[in-house]
Amino acid sequence: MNPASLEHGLREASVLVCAGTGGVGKTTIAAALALEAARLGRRSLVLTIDPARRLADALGLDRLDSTPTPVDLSALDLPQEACLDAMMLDAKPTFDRLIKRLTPNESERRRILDNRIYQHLSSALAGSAEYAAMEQLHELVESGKYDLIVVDTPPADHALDFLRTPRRLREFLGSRFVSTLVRPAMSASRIGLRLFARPLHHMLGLLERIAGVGFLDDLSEFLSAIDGLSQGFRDRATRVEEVLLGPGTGFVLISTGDEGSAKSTLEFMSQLEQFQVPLIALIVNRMHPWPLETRPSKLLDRCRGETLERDVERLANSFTAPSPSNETARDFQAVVETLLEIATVCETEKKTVDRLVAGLAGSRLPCLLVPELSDDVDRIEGLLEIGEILRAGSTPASGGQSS
Amino acid sequence: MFRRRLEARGGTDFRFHGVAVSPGELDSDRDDEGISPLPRFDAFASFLLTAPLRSLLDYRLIVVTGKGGTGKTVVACELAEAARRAGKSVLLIETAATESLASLFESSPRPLGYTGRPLRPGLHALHLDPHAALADYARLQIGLGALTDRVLRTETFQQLLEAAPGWRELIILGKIWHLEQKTDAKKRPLYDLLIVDAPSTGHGLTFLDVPRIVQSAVRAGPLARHASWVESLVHDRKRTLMLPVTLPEDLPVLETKELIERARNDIDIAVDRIVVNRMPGRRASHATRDLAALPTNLELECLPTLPQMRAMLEHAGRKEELAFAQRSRVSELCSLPVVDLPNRIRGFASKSGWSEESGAILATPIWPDEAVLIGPAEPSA
Repeated sequence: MNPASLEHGLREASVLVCAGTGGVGKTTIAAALALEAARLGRRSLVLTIDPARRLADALGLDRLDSTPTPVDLSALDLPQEACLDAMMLDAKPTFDRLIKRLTPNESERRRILDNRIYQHLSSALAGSAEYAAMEQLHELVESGKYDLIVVDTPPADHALDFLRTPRRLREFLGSRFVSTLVRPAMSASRIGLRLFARPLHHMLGLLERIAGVGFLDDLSEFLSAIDGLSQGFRDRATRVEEVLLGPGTGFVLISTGDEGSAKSTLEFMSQLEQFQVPLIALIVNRMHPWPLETRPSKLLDRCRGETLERDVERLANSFTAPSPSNETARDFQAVVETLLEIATVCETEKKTVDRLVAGLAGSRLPCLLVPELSDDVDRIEGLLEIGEILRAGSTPASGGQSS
Repeated sequence: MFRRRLEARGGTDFRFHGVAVSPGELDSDRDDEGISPLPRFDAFASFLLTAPLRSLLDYRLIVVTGKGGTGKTVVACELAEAARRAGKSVLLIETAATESLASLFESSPRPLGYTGRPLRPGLHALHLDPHAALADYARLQIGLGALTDRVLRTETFQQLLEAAPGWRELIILGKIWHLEQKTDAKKRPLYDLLIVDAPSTGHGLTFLDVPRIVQSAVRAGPLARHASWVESLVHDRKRTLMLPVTLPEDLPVLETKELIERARNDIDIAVDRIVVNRMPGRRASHATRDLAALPTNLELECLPTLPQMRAMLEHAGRKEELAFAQRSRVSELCSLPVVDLPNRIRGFASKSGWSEESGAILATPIWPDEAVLIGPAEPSA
């Protein structure tokens, strides 16, 4: 994606991936971006990973589920062609659909769907959400129904899993382990294992001793059942990878001004670089609003010592004209402390943003600041507001409005 | 009022202090947000619930869970520190892929590693790396030392592990079980309390559910047997507690409700309180009220003008009100009392002061005032 800019991404990209650590507001930003693209006249879809009920509310939907649901935009002042769908990832049906698509033969299909290992792989275990997300994304891209798909990802610890998924699947299916287990002679009888190279033999023996005899049978059956599909799987995995790292995809990294979050974001950024991921913007969400012209650090420098004491006294004196009791004086001490703490928080955030911007240096990526909205974003207007802020607030990579 | 609250609580197959409680009638009402509260309890259950809560220090294993960004790790550390100060021998277990826990205790921490090291007297901490735990397990099971290691290191096996979901969670839980069983020379438990900083919510629950899943996928053999041991530890209401951490904000609250529903219905693990982290006081609201009584034409030396000060407080004041409303809401939705942890503005980065305040986590849980559920905060003038 060149030139790297959010607006360009919203107009041209076919996939935008929102990544970041937990609790930074990824889902909300993803929805705001999809809505913004819809406003630009693109058919867009937001795909969330978590069952974000509040988002469903905000979009005026009863609930988010695994089928794309159109969002009613008629009440908003948007161009006629604006069109936005929302859906939530559900791993199990996605897998089932994939199996159905790849296996035309009915009995073969049942064999896979009924296999216990398959059932657990597809629904219950960690990691399967990432596989399903990739598959879902692929389906949606292939369908051609959307100009832009905005994907919300699991928290950062797992976002890299998300990226590794297609490659992992491809490598696994091509591995000797799989080909050994699915060879006809093999799946029929475990005695045949002896014929194989020693490490592999040991490994299977180990698996069997840990997991019990039945497990290997199940696994072998599962793998031979999907063996016929593995070419199909591999092709898809390759194509998903192409889409994900291809020119039509942009990554949007989301952080907050919190020090911990910024630290993880910087780490995450360098990891993404290794994947040669096309990063198009950094969004710092939930910035505390600072209503004054002067930078908080200036205020903090100015407000100290005797000058500050005199001001506190003035506040207390004008509060109770007759005789200021000690208690009111203490109260205003607390008032001033609260004010200075707010200034400190804002100053720390500004410094954190400076650090993030410095981390971006060289990449010429834009860093966009989104203030924390006073109320929870529970109406579509809130999403529009965020979109507007993103559109307007494209600060140059020098770190914002500080003077 | 209290009675009504108790009646509003519930949970199917909910057990309290090891006593099975039959579920009451299902509540089909929905609150104004379209979220149905948890099922109602019958009177017997209400009676049981009036029993005082146990102290956190009376458990053997506490699994700290929550949505990413809620400050789980910090809460786990506070709990560990508080327990240590109360004279317990504590094992703190980190499960995230990258270590971060030690940095709360030390300014330039060395990695904890798989065997870990003491961070304070009475507090041992370790990082549970699933690969190391797997090698450990295989050695214990197969006893083939070097050969097993070689097999585990083969590329094929690594590929299998990369692709296979679930084993990390199982092996981590298995190791926790193993650590719980450890005894010293006099056959006394090596640790009084084990505290686990679990993976964040979605994965955190799968983490606790894995033994059950494994047992249904694997019919026999050592793995199935071990999974059943681990599972019984998870279910043991005498020993094990799940401690959910949330923030007084909308999404974390909803996630916590889902987390607790799943903990009660699917996992069957004890939950008796919710930690509300970064709970603000009402300082900004009070400050706004005080400033409102002053004349606007006041001449000041260094402070900003009164309207400017009010503008500075406006956002914080509204966040405070929202936080109180969300705290009531999470308690109501989950039918659980809460423990507040303050919003430490300067955070833990300074590494000073927090350990003295760690006792806050042990405070008796409270039922927030039956305030309005969520509503728009009063707009300030």
